[in-house]
Amino acid sequence: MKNLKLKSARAAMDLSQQQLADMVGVSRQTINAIEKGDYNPTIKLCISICKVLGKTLDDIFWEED
Amino acid sequence: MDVSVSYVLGFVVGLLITMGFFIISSLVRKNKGKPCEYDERQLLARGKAYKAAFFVLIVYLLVEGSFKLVTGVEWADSMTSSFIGICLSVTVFAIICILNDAYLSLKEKPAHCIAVFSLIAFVNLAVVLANYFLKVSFLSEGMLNYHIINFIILIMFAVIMVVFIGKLLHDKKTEKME
Repeated sequence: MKNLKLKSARAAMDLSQQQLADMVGVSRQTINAIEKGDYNPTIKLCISICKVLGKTLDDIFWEED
Repeated sequence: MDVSVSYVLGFVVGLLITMGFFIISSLVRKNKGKPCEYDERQLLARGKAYKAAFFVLIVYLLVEGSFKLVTGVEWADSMTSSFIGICLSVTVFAIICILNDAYLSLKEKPAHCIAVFSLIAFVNLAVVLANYFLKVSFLSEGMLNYHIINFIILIMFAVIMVVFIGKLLHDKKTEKME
């Protein structure tokens, strides 16, 4: 399932995938894979992404029914 | 098989120089604070690639060994047939890593990688051409001999480079769309 919340939070901060990847310490393709739902990140990476975007885990990674 | 002492010494020296180069370059990278880092997704993808390469090598050895046992045909000397298996599994590993964006570490640049691949391919092409003009045969006693190894390495790096450049172009296209 696509992670549109991550994509919109990133876009809201006017960050490219590469910029977010550099800030988090992963490759651009990893951010792309998370946004596309192709990769399920570890909790450690989820927390790093949330800290950079100033959001909570629920804001970005909680799937609502 | 007519393997001379000078050939074996040359092989060992070449191997030692290559190992020395990699050890020195990794030490230099460490001192510069540029360790070969992969992120968690890349490490996972590389693990899967290692697994695939391992099974490819197992299947190759089984098929090659069975073929020799059943037919009694020696198609290549033991060093050459082993080397073909190694090249095959390394190619599988590299291609899977490239397709999953796990070949380059976070700090490596594609241009550097292409330059190294081109250099290796060029050196091996030079050896293949030299062998061709010196009329060195790839066959001895009806078997492929070690002279074909450079040709195999050339093919391996050419295939890896084509996949690498293809993926790079594909990524640039999708990056613009994101």
